[in-house]
Amino acid sequence: MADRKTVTRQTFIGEKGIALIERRCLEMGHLFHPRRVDHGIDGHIDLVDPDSRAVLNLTLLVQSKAQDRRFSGETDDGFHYLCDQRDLDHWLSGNSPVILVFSHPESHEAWWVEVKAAFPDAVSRAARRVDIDKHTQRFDRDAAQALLRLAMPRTTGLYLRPASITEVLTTNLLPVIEMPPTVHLAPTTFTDYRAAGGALETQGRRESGWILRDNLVLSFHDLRDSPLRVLCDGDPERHETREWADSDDLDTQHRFADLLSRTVQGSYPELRWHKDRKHMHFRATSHLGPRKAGKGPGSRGRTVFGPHTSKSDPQRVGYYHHAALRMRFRRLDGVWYCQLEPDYCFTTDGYTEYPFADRLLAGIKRLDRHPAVRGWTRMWANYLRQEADLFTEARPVQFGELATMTVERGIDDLLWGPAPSGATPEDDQDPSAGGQESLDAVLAAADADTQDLLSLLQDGESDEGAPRRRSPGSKARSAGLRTPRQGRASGARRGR
Amino acid sequence: MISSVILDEPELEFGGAARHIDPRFGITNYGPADLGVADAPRAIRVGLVGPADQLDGLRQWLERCREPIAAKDEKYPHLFPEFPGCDTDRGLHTTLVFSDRNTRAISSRDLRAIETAGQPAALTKAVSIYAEEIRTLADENRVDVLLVARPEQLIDTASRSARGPKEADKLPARDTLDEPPPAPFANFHDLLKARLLHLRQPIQIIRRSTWEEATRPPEGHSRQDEASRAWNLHVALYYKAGGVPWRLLRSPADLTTCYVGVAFYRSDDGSSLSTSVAQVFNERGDGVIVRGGPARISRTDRQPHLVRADAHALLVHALGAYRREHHTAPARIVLHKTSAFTDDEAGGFQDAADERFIDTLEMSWITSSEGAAAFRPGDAPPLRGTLVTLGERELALYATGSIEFYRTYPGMYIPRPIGIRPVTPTRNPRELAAEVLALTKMNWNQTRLDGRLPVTLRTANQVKSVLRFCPPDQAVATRYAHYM
Repeated sequence: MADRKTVTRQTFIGEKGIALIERRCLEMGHLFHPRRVDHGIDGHIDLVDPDSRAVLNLTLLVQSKAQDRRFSGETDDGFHYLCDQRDLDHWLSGNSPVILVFSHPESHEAWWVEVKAAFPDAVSRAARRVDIDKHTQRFDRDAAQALLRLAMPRTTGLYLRPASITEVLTTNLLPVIEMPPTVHLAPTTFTDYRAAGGALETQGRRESGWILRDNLVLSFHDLRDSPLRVLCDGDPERHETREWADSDDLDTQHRFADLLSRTVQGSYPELRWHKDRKHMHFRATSHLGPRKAGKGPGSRGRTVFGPHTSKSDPQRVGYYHHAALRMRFRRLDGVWYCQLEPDYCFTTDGYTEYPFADRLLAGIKRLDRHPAVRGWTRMWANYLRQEADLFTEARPVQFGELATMTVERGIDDLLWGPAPSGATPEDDQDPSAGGQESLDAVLAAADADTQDLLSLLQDGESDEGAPRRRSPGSKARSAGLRTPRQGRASGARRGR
Repeated sequence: MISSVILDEPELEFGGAARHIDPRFGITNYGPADLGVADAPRAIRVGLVGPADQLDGLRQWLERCREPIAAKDEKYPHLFPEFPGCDTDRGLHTTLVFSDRNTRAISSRDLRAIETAGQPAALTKAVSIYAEEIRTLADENRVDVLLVARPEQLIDTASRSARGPKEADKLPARDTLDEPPPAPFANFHDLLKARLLHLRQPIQIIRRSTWEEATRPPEGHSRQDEASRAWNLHVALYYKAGGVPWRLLRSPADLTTCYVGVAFYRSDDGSSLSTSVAQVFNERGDGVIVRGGPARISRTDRQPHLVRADAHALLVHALGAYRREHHTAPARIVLHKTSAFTDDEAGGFQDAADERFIDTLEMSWITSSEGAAAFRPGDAPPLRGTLVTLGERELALYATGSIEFYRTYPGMYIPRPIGIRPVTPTRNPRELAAEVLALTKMNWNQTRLDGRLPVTLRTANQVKSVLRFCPPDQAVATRYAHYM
């Protein structure tokens, strides 16, 4: 019998490679079209808006490199590939982005790289070598967004809605899960706290967790058996807490919020109420050394009090920082929450306010970023939720976990970067923002340096749920344009 | 249950009824909303007032802006896009027209007088000198917009610092006060606008650093790239000359709506009377200013409030202004106020709406200091459009935040949500918030797609800061363009 026509093994492998690309593209929500005539480009991807399914008239060209044997230098982590000079010239000279897809069709594995990103300069072009990281450059569903960004025209203003990603947002609202069942109240002749406090001192005991309102003294403590008795000008009454807590009368709600607030303020001996700043902050330690607190789910704890050396004289303590908290109780949909707003306090000796405290606050506000505030909020939630120990009384008001909610749209943080400088609108026409100084000037006056304040913000970072901090200088990534080469961090996370 | 959704970025309407979410890309691709409409300004006569050496340079820069100005940073092509140039065939499709007759230089003698005077006399002196020149120019000629070059060395001053801290002390501990008391701050912009309100002449004040690369902006002012500066200035000029750069997207089924913003302010002399002021907007975005009666600080919530009759009068007055401007009555009123509604206020506003046979009146207290916050798991803050429903009458809306189109959070500080508190429980918080979010884009003082406050309150703040320098009995200009 005459020889039959045969198909080479390599043809099968090549076709399987193309089939794999097609399948992966469909999984991503894009369309792949193989070329009828192939001159170094096997096909193109027609990109589709994942949100609206609109065909975008954006394309990427694809060259497939399928092999059943290993690529050069292949390990579990990666391999490299030496491009043909004529291919490379062809890919780089075109008007569309070209991606190379390397695959082992038998094991259904594929990786990708964009040619222009892989060969950014003459040196790399001369070497013709491209390195592939198997963990970060997988050609699968996760690459869909990166492909879109690659093909997006820079200047026509094409807008795609945020990706459908399920994200859990955490609020700064800490629900009250337990409070004393009874509110005690009695008529009083005291109208201001100073005088009332003076009267209490004569009893020789500190007592907190009471309020004065409309000639009444109110507390969760039984007024008969407490030093608060001296404030009463008549017989105390008992009321069910629910009557107050569930009242629809705004004034009653405010009063109850006030009572909750003062009760909580009084039940954490490590915290001090700062009247002028209207916040609570951690007291100084007796030895003026650092104090850590707030260890718990999602936070390793933070340094809530500590010394900072002066910038001009590193031998000397310039100021102490105290983590502070503004809290506000509010009832939302029938549940009482403590709303946490982290703040800072600065002192010269652990007690007296630092003369440049305002400057430091202004400085820290300018350095503050979203992860830092989230971190401090978690720290406070953990701290306030912590169970009382042997040395403290059981706390009258107990908290649950920070309220969370789920949303259907989100961001892939690894495709995003920090705000570029100059993004804040110019205030030329906006007279409301006046008289700000540069951060350096602010800090110089306060004898502090930027690193020092930053350490305060980043202390205890790497909270759960937050991706790794970007290494400084990863400018390419901050541009929001990820190519596989630049996207190592993302793959490392996904690979875990 | 506390819950959250992410609202879509509202689209705006541009030339040929085309849509885009971003003002700059909308104008570049489709032209301004009134493109091709008979009364769109196709030539804007610009008057110039300022120091002689600045006028030449400024004019040269504006000539240069006829041609495209390159985008700043190719890494953020949507955040810092190219300025397409301002001419009859591109961009805003208009041309700026100058003539020597419409130019008045501030004499060097006058400039010396300003420079040698101490603060705050220098500020008063500068305002007087400029006001005089502007008046003369406005008397002799008719220009569409007056471009005023600020004296370079003039510094805006604190004028009422003595009272500031004391007032802060009196604030209640609870977070019921919507805004801090008015900043003890006087500036050239507000003083000059107040002085010239009766001229009914739109004025645009400009700093040297806006048009000259070599000049540093004053301390505390950041400097934008040249294309962004050109964008902001030209859009403001176009609006002030009567053009409509963009408008809210409406479906034919939507009722014609009159948006009313009610805010309070103290007069410059600090006399305790707080007067309310209302801004009236239609969906085109054009605003009319109405001044209301006195307000009183309530003892329970320490916020300024109107008595029933004054609330009634204010809305009747506002509807009258709307009618004069648009020759028709709106079918729906959306009223935003900077403080909580008392029963009296809500009743007074409702009475006015009933009297005028307006079926729908929606009232919300909008607060710029909502304390509830949401945190995303990553580095970037929550997306703009994140709406947190706290309760049936309490919403928190992130009007600033991460923006997919810009691929970054384009702000300096941590974004904070604004609070929306409808007077009656709302059946559809999502729609209510979407409307507020859309109104944040109606701001012709900047050309980015986001704004922190809806136009109702943003302009209220701006009008307030001008009006506080006007005597209570002085007639005021009605067009919003005269205040911005």
